Amino acid sequence: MTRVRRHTFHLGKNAQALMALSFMAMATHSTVAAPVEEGETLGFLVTQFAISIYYGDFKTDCPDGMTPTTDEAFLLTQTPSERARLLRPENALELEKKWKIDFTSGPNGEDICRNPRSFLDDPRHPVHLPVQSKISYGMNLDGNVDGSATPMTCLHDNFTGINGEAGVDNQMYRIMGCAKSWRGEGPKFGGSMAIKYNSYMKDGLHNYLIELKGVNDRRNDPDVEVGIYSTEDKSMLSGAGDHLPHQTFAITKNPRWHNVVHGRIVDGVLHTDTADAITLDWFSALNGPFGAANEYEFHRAQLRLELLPDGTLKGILGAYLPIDATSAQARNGGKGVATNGNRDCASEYKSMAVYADGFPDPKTGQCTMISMSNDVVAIPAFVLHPDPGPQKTASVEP
Amino acid sequence: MMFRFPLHIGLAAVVLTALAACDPAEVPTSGGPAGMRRLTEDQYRNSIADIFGPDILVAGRFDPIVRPEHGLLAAGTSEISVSPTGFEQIYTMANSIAAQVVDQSHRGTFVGCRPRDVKAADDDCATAFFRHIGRFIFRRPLTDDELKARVLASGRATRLSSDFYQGLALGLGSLLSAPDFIFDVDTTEPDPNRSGRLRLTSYAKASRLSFFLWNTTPDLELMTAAERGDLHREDSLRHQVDRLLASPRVESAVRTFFADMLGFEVIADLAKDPVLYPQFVRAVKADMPEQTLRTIVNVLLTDNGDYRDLFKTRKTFMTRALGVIYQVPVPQKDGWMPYEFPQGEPRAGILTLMNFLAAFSHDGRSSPTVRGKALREHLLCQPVPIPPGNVDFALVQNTADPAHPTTRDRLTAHRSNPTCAGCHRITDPVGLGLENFDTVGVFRTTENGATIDTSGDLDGVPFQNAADLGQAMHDNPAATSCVVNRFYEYAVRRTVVKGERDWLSSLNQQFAQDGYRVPALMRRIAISDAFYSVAPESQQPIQEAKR
Amino acid sequence: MSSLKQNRRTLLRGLMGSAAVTVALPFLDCFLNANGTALASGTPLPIRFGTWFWGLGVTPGRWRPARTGSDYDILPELEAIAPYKKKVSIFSGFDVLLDGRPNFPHQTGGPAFRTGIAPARLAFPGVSFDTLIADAIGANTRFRSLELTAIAASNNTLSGRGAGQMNPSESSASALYRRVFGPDFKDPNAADFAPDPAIMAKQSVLSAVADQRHALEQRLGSADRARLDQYFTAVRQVENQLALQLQKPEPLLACKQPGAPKEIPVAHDVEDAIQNHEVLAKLLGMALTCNQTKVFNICFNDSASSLTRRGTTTSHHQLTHDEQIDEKLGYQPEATKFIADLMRALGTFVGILDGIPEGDGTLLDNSLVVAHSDTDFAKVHSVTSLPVMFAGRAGGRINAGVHIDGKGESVTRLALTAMQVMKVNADRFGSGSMETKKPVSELFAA
Repeated sequence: MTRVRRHTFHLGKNAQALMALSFMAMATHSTVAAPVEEGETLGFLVTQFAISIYYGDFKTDCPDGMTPTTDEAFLLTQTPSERARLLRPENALELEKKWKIDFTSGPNGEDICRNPRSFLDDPRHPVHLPVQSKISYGMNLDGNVDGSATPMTCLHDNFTGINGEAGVDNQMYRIMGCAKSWRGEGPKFGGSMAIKYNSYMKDGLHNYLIELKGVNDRRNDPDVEVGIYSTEDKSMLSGAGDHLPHQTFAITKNPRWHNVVHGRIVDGVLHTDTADAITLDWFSALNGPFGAANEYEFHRAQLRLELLPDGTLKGILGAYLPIDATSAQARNGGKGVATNGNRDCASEYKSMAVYADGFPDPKTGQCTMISMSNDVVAIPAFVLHPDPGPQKTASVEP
Repeated sequence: MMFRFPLHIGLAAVVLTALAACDPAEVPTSGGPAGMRRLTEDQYRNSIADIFGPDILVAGRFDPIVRPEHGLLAAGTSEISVSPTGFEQIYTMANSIAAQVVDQSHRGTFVGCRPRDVKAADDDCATAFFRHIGRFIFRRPLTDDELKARVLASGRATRLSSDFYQGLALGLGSLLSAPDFIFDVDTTEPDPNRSGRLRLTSYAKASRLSFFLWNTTPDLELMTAAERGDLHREDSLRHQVDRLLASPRVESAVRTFFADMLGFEVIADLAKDPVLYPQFVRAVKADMPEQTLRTIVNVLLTDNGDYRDLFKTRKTFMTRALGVIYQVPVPQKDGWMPYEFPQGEPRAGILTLMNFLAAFSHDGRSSPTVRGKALREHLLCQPVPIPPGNVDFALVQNTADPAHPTTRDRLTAHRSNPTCAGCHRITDPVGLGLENFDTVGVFRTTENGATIDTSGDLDGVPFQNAADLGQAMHDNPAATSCVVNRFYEYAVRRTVVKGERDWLSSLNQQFAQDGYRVPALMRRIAISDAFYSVAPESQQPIQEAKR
Repeated sequence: MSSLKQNRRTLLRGLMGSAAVTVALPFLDCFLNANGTALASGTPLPIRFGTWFWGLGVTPGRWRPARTGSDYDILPELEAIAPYKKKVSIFSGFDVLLDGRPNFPHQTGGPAFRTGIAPARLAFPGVSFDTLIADAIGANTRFRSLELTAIAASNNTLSGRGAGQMNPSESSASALYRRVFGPDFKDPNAADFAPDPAIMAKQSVLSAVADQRHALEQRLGSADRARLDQYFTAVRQVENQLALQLQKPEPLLACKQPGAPKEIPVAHDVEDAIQNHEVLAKLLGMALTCNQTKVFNICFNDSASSLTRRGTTTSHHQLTHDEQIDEKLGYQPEATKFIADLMRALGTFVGILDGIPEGDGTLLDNSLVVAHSDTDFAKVHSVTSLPVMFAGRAGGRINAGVHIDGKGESVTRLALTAMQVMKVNADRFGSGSMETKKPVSELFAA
């Protein structure tokens, strides 16, 4: 069903000659046996990479309704009569000033999104309403099923996975799963944050690649190498705005965004070992509205991806996110995230801090990271390595 | 009703003979009609760039050229005129070019004299300017009347504007708006070597030669040769032809010719169903004709190869965008890089490049019939009759019919109708050889779950797949006679006349002797008598203008 | 024929007084005024060009017609222009092509359409096509162009020649009034007329083209002689156009100095913006009627629209991202209300131009207004299928009232079409994948 193709390029004097090609086998082509000991190499472009939201019955998931947005949170701080007064049309400008300026600033002019820590004691910005149901996407990241504290974790509640898996760690979903900005429109339309995050990859603000090396059997293989990389190359989209398969991408030269982890394929599903950290580019193409380039860090990360017959990879990434780095994504946007984006950054930060369940600070015991799950979809692509170093040599090169 | 397919047209007279040791005497022709050909957009732009330099901005539009039935666009230039909108554009472009030519930064280069007073007319300076520049614009010296008219008009304009250069610009604009520039007009004179016959003037020969080999106006050296009458002398003509052929500018002619011969004008409006073929994005569409042209130039010019190898070559060029269609990695991020399809791959030759496959298919499905027709008409010069008006295409178009999963199944059913069978026998067996490529040229082995059978035959030569079809095209004598006929049509930019057939047959034999090398073919045309011959009844001779 | 020509020459010489020139004369009898594009004397009315921008796109399923051609269907967000359907064309499927450049949310679509260049960084990336049109047709009017916005933000503009050279927008009705109809306003009907010597010179020189006709004809066969005839017919038409420009224009009867408007203070309230826009539009209509300018650019709101509705806190922009899509309706109800408001404002604008009689038609008939947004669906910032509409007939130069699907071709084709309709001497527009030489030629009136 698969084969490795040899591609003949007349490489000129340019630096491209140094690139080692890695190959994605074509599911539709006739069979040519690949060298058994080396296996095939499969390349992918990540097309979806955003927070997993489990949509159960809304009343079960969020019995108290949605977490208030910034403007709603402000109005909740007002007496009913004052609230009614402010909502009258002639007071629109006053209301706008109060929630967009006063409510999102600290006593010394602190920016609610740039300095969310300074609002930790501000009662106007409470912890989010947590998800109440017991089911979530995600993985058992800490290895136990009761959520008890370990040297690596803090005491927390666990979810049951959608397939009944016990001990699923996903505190991020717990605190953000009832927030409008994350939950969005429901299963039919997808989460608001997910749409945004996935559109960033279409917009070319950052793009990610996955490469599987040494695959001898796509159904069961105990030993494959999994690379997760950033690329600066932009993706071509179809007229309908979808990423096209079989594009070529060069892995970024920045070694910080090269991540390699061992994995195994069991019944057509790839499971990786736990990677200490997966670090990826976040917005390097952009130097403007969202501030400087940043990084996306996933700690104690695992991938669980199904190899589908049409050539795509689909599954989840489970990991702990450092809450400071995560809030930095909003921090770079500044107050606009709270006003234009209508996300109460202070509440978000406080919620993450309270529900953090991983990587306790050795001094305070307070956890610094929060468990989470990302949906991942990736389609066939050709992945080029910037440098044929010992670890990076494509296994199928003759 | 049955159609008789005119397979004999275009190759009936072709008989391959043993290679001759030396060139035989040229087979005489009747000569073609004298005519006038509107410059193409490329010829106009190239002319302006060559006369005034590439920094002169040319912004304007041109009336479209209509392709004569079974002919080249190049021949269409002998049939079109200029519409009112087209002239408005010509006139606006002319004045904009002229204003740039006499502006502060250019007048030193183009105006060889200084007016006595920049606010007043200076007929001497204007005369010198128009005489000098007019010769390049009209591709011959201006007549006295033409020259005087410009000097007079410029003088009037200068008096109205009190600006010598503005007057000069308007006079130059009128030269650039004149039919003598916009059209390449044949000028003839009595042939001193053949009593009672006509021949092109030396200047008309220069234009014909230059537009053929360089797709532009004659350069200074060619104009000087024309002025000396050298182009009537065989050795001088050969010298000029070899000089032009040695230039990299020949590539522009070869590209223009093949884009014309292969019917590239359909690409501008080509669309594919965006749901079924999302990969047919603009970048892909933009690169696909260029890939074919680069492949052709590489075989014919870079490698000075055999024309027939176009149907077999594995060498081509790739961009990142095209990599999506061919499903190959393309290391180079921007621009083009050479690529060679590995042995054993399904692709070889220009028929298996995306351009041919996609340009001659329907929006939502491939079409062996359209591909077969294009192959017959464009590459073998064999016109296929148009279908009758009352055909029921429902069977062919229903790609969801479980009884007929593949295109072959549907076409076979369609051909059971005797009305249709006649034409489809001509097109389909050829086109079915390319069925491993869908309507945008992506490789496939199945259609609706059924394995695709790509066997067929080309004029009795059976083949199993696209590569075999390429070999059959390589071996088909109609392929080489077709390109010979087309190249001559391209060179004279009119429909070939009956009295030229025998000569074309001999040219075809010479093409074989030359190992099917296209530069050699171009050279043979350019140095032939036939290329410059004018039929005596087509035009009254006039005296060439005296300087 | 020659005696007629001689008579006219004499006539024109009289008209020009002492200017001792002979010029080729037009055949005025072939100039008919069939479609309200010229005054009775044959003097063409000025053709105006404008843009009308709105931010945050349209709602999927509520704007883009299903049918193409002149029988296009009116969806809810086209209802406001329905009364003018025969004069308004809809364009869908014309894309901004990024060539690997990022799609900066709200900062890419508008500038990319106007300049033909997808911004590589957050700055206006080039020369907007409206300024090219203003260069071509606006030089002889008092204002090369007028820029307006309904909200209080003078930097809300998409007209300019690159970052640092943007045409600022006027949002104050009284300021606009002072600028156009203040003390510097001169009644155009009172102006003396003098023929432009540059045009006289052009006309004179063009006749030299035709003078050599006989010599060339002699060398041609009959078929080619017919082709040459067509050529000189075309030459004569340009001579006619030049001759018309040498005649004194008809008075602009509809031009009357308006009274000073009432100033409407605007911040972010959508109702205020709508009212302010209407006042500005009426002033602009009179400025066009009085030939004070031929080119205008309106940005109704900004691309990441800060418009709010009285009594609510959430701006239109926030709603596009945060409001839930109503599962029954299939769209975001509040965000969609704003789109309806914006489209109603466009309808008002088109109606104001169409309500001013001119020649046999209206001001709208003698205008081309390119209305467009910066995104198709603001929720995801998509720049494919940029919503674009053309209003007006440009004096009969353009076929109006059709829906055309661009099928993923570059949106610059529409800009090039507008430029060519407005007689900009350009054969191409845009750069990279957005460079096009292909206008939407079915729009060109035969």
